[in-house]
Amino acid sequence: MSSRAAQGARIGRREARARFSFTFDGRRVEAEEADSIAAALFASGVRIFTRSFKYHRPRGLLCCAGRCPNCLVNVDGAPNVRACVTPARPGMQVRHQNAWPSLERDALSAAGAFDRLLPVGFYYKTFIHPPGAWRLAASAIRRVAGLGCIQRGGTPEGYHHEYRSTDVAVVGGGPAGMAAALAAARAGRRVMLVDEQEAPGGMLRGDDRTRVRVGPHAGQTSAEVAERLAADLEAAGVEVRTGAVAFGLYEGRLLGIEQGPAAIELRYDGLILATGAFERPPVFAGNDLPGVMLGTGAQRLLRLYGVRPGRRAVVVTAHDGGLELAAELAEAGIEVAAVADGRAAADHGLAASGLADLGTRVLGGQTICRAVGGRCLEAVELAPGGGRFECDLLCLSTGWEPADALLAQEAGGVAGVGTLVWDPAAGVFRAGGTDGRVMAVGALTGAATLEECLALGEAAGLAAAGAPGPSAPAPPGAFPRTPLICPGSAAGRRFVCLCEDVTTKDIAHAVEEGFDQIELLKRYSTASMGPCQGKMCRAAVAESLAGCTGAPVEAAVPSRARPPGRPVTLGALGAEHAAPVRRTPMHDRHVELGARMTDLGEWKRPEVYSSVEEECRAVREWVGLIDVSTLGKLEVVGRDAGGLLERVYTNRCMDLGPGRLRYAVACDDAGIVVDDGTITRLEEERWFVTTTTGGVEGVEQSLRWAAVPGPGGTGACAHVTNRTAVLAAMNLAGPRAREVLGSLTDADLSPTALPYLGARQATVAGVPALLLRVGFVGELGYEVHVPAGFGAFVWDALLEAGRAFEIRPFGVEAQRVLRLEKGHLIVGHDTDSLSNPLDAGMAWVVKFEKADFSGRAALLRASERGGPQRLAGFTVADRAVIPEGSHVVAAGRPAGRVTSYRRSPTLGCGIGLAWVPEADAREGATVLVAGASGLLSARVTLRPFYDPAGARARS
Amino acid sequence: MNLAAAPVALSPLHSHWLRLGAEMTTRDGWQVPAHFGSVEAEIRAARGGVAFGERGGGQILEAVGEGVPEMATHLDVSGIAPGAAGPVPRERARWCRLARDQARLLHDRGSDPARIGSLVPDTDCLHVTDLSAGLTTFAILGPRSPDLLARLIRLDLDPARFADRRLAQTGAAGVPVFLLRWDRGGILAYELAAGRDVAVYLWERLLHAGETLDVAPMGLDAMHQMENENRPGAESE
Repeated sequence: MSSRAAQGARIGRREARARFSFTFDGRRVEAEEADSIAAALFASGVRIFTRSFKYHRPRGLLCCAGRCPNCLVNVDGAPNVRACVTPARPGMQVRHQNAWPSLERDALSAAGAFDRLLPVGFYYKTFIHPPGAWRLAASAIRRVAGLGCIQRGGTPEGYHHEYRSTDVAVVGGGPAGMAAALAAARAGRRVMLVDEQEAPGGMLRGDDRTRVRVGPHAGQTSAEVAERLAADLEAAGVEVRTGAVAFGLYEGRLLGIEQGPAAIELRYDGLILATGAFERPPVFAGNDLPGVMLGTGAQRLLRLYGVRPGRRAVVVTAHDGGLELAAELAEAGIEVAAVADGRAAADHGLAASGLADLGTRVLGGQTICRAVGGRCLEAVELAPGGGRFECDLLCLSTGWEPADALLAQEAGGVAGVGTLVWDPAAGVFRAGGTDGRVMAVGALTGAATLEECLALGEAAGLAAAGAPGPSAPAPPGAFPRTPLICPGSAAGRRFVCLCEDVTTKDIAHAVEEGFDQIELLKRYSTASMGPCQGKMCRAAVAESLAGCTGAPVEAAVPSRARPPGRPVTLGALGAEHAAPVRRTPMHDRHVELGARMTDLGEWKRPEVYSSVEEECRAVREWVGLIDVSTLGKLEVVGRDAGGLLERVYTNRCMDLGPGRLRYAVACDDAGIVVDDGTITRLEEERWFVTTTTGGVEGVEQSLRWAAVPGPGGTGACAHVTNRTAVLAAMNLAGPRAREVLGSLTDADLSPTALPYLGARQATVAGVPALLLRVGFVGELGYEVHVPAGFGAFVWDALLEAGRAFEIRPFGVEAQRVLRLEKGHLIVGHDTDSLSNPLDAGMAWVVKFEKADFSGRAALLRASERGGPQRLAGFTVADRAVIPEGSHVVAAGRPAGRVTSYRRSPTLGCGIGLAWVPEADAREGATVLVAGASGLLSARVTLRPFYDPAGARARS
Repeated sequence: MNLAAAPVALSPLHSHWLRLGAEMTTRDGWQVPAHFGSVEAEIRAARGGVAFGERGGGQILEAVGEGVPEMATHLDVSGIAPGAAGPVPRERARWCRLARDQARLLHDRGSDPARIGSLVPDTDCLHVTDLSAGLTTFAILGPRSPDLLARLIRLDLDPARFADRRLAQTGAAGVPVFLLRWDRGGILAYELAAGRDVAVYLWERLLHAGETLDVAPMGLDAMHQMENENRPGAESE
């Protein structure tokens, strides 16, 4: 008999459904349009979909609703795809995971034979000795356990984030959710409805058997109601997101949703949770065999895909829904061998289901004891009495549990507090009400009938919209209460947690070892910590624990869950990829020149073009050009601008005349160096400030903060504009720099017209420019600032003009060497969060005579107290290797550290900066430095290594 | 190079335009992409989905200080509230009011630079800075442009909420941006201005975000053609 049924809601449309194929482990599989992967595989005869996490036991379809771990497959390289809710597509390549060499014959299932050696928590107790054993064991365990392999190489395309907003978000597209969304939308609110199935409707979809008894939909089948509501949603303008999983509630009214390759951050004003309920799988011997299926799972296969879930079935139930299920199976051509009804009087719904007319045996007071089979189900044994029935399908329809994964993120951890309450009649925790912001409706609150769900949904939708409406009827709490741990002592493992292969025996062992609280038990046994995140097993774990300790089940209060409540692909989570990359206006030029680029913060900078030594030599002997566009550049204007700068920087600036600049240091309130740069007075009330590459935002913030008026004060007339991206900047440095620049400008560049630390506006190669005479690398140098759009043009012009003077572009590595030869520090590299300018050898920039500046009080105290270390220069033999960060050693103990070290091509020796003990911070002192090959003797100097008088920069 | 040549300003995306096969042209001293093959195809893409490109040229002036309200009065735009934008009467310029004491003046291409000075009144504590060289502005046009922007920007961009001529200072893909909605010819249109230093990064993020939206690059010719079609109030700009 074909697995494709001859009847069922979708069957009437089957003729029109297109057929296509995909592959499963390389084998061609035929599928029909709108099939899920699992439906197509099941129809083609596949029964084992995956292997379990620990023992590699065969697992087959169970829930068919994306909740359990039993159908995880690899699709086109993406692991852990839920086959039961993922639509099949032509040409897709589906592969099994977590089995070797094949699903049918998995060599790793041998682990099951050693389960005595692998009790719960075994990894805490074993492989401790000998040392290193755990490392080997962990490697082996990781190979055989786990859930699929992440795709390596290449970046999967299509993943992205979406940021959306709505007035009312509704999670769950069942009848309650649809009614809520519709009511809110008709009240004029923007509504987004999120549902994880391929279409809204929930369990109504495909149900042509159940008819509505009362209300506006009276007489319609459930399927017709679903289609009508879906059409109404569209007409009302509700944005319906199907195939979308709401996985987390976050602060700020934020709902996390995954829809295909998109991670959606949805901001809402009101949230309605209508996530429904799911059948609780009871625990019995052999409960994980392929062929054991939830009743709703079997119905989904039959109703939505026209696929028969088996040939010969046994139904285990405890309510009328199970009887109706049996009748539906029988009508689909499946032989129902028996119905085991846990109720003593099993004929409540017989008439309604029509089951009696079909001649199916209904066994009152019976329940499942054991499932029997090898790789798949072959028979079941019932209890009490031990009746045995051959079958390939066991449908479990014994009770319901609210799908509260999201609600548990909102609710508190104590029953009755928050929105989860214990329902003693149903024996479950369920939504206990609303807090006005997050509302729960439908089966989540215990509503069982379609009419109740529709009424609750509409009331919640109107409430969320702030529209008048009837108050919501109190949910009746109609879930039947049935024990989850089935009686009997039959042989065979009874799995409490299918995700983590945790059995009732494991729970008992854990309790014996003292882990008798639900939170401890969960962490020790890992039960409920797998892909289903406790959705299928939380109640069973609690009941199993209660069985061991004698405590009531409700004592196992659900803890406040943390998002994500459902597994989310790393691709979607990581798609935002907000790692800005900043490029200078001359970036393309550097690449064309063959520079090796490096990342400095967010910036791309040329590290070296040819060789560091050649570039250094060019600057020292001829002329070099470096892109310094990454320098922070601030314009500070206004009549109070000078005073503002004086408050933030340690040294003076008001005594600068227009056209003059000065090196400046900024400290925080603790006197710690936070930035350095130059301050240029362009005009009386207009200043130009350069900062370090990474420090501009901090300095800008400090200046803006300092400009804020105090209590009762009037704001300073000083404004700060960040012009870092506005201006391209390059430093032309070397003995021939004046000649090169002079060939491109009419400005007088003579030492008298533009002296060291002078500034002027000029035109360079026809482009308006700001020229600053600076000497960071210790040579005659000009910092040329031009509008960024002309940066490449002026760069080209300078290189062209400099060709006759042996000009070379130089990178940041050569600049590091050159500045080190001058003894110039780099803030954040040679200083840290404890460094003040006094200890860093820059007392000359601290002007205590100023009434106030940031860090003044702290620096005043530091000047009186003195510091334990000072930043000083040192020299060592030519070829010594000293990694930056190496210790300075005194009396056999670390007494300082090296912050910068390079070999100086100019001086022919190793030079560096280091924090040395105060007592050693004197000219000519000797300290020991821990180099790469041992302790080295280093000679301390407090003066620049190169041109200590600064004559070259001033030339 | 010819040192006597007139300076040419380049966009940070210049090499990207060349790689995309743009037909380049010089406008107002800037090298800009005129089109990427077919102006008509670019307009069709914008009308059918979403297209985006760089709005080259033009001038962006930022005004800050207590004198900004007086400048607004001087320009006859004092009715434009913070968070909104509007045309400056008798000028090819738009006034974007960021805050009470902060605004941006967007001077469209073809403006007379000499005239700009006359727009700034001689007022105490008013500081106007030219940010043109430091900002790159992307034009994003088409009915699906909110979908594209929603992949980068955490704002409620529902066209009914973020209405025409609304503006916001926000973030996109981790960088600060200035977002202005200014519909063109009845089509949803946004301008996204970011620092020139992050322009290539933002362009790449826009392309990535638009992978499944069939985004198309757009040159200035198509932009201007759309701007001039059915342009309400064009004469007042």
